[in-house]
Amino acid sequence: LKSKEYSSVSSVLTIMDRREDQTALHEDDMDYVDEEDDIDELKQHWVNEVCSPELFVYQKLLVERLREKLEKQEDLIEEERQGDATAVWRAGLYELETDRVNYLLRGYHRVRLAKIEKYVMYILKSPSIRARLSEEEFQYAQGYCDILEDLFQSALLRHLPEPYRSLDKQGNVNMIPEPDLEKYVFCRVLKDVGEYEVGPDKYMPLEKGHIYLLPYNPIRRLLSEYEAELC
Amino acid sequence: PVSTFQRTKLLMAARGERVEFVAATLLQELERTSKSDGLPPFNEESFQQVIAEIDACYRCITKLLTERGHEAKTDGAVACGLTTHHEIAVRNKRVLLAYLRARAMRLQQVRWELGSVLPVDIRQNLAESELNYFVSYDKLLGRYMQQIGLDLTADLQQPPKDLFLEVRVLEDFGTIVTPTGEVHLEKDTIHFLRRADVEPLIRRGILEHITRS
Repeated sequence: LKSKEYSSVSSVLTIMDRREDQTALHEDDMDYVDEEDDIDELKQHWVNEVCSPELFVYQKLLVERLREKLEKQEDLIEEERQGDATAVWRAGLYELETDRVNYLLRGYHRVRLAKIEKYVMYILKSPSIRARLSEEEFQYAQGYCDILEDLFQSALLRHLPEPYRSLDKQGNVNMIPEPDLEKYVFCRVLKDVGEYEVGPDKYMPLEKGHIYLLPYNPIRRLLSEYEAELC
Repeated sequence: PVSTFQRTKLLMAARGERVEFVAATLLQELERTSKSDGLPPFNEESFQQVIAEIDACYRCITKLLTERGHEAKTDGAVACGLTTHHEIAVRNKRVLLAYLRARAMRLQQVRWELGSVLPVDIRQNLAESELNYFVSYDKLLGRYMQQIGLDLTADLQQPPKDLFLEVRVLEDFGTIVTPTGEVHLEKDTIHFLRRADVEPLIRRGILEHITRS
C-alpha cells in the first residue's frame, strides 16, 4: 500500500498538522475525533473493506470531516498560488496531498461499491446489512438490482417456461450469491485478547501487535470492537 | 461423488442418445476472449438453442407427469426421467444467467475505464438488452457519483505520486484547456501537464506517460 511513501510526503506538510512519527492506529485511550488521525483512520477502514468479504458500516462522519478539511485546503491552495515562488511551490505540495486524500476517499467508496454490486441481492434482503449502507449506496443498490433484473428478464427469463422464471430460488435451491465468511484473512491484533475461539473447539492466544491468518467469521467481533484490524 | 449433471450425461450416452450440451460452449467462448479484446458478439444462436433445450425438457416433464405422474413414486424410471430433465433445465438456466452476468460485468468495466461513450467495436457486439443495461448502468453510476460529489473513475490505478506528468501525444487530439492555459495536443509532441488533466486521456490511449528509468 506504499504507506511509508505516503506518510513521508505528508509529514512535510503543516496544514493538516500531522505528527511525524506515525504511531499505532488505535491506542487504548484514543479519541477518534483527534484531527491528526483522520487520514490514517480512513486508510484503515479502506484496508478493512478491501480484505474482508463483507461490508462494514459506512463511515459517514469521517468522510464528511475529511471532505470539509479538503475544502479548506483548496481555499488555502488558491491563496498560496497568489503569493511568491515559495508559496506557489507550497501550493503544489498541498495540492498533491489533496489529490492523495481524494484517492483514498475514492478508493474507499469504490471498494464498497464493488462489494455492493457483487452481492446486491443478498445485501438488500438482509435489513441488518442494509443498515450498513449510506443512503446513496442504498439507492445505488436498489437501482443496480433493478437493472440487473431487467437484463435477466428481458434477455432470458421472460422466454422460459413458467416454473423456471424465478431469479432467487429454483425449487429449494437459493440462487443468490453470498459472501464467503469463512475466507481466510490476515488480521493484526490491537489488544491482548487472550485465548480466543478461532474455530469449532479451536482456541488460540491472540496477542497485541501480532498478525494472524484466520478465518474471517470468528474474528468479526474483534473487528467491530476495534480490537483487531485487517491487513 | 458424481454430479447429477454428469450422471445425466452418462445415462443419456448409455441409452445411445447424442449428448450435446450447447450451454457450456457459451461460457467457454467468454473464457477464451480476454478482457482486452473487448466483448465477443452476443451469441444469439447458441443462446436460443439453450432456451430451446430448456423448453424441450419442460415439455418432457409435463408429458411425463400427465401420462405417468402417478407412477413416479413407484417406478424408478419415471422418477429418474423427471429429475433428469429438470436438472438439465436448471443447469442450462444457470449457465445462461452466468453468461449474461459475465458479459454485464465486462460492460461495467468498460464504463469505468472508458467512460459513458461506448466504442463502436464493442457496441456492435451487444444484444439489445445489453445496450439498455449499459445505458442504465451509466445513469446509475453517474447519479451516485454526483450525489457523493466524487468522480470515482479517476485514479483507477495507483495513488498519485506526482502532480505533473510528462506525456507524449499518440494521436492528434486538438486543444485542451488546463488551469495553466491552453495546450495543443499534436501527434508526437511532448508535454509536461497536470496529472488530473491527462489521466483520462492516458487511459484512452491518446497520450502516453513517459517515465524516466
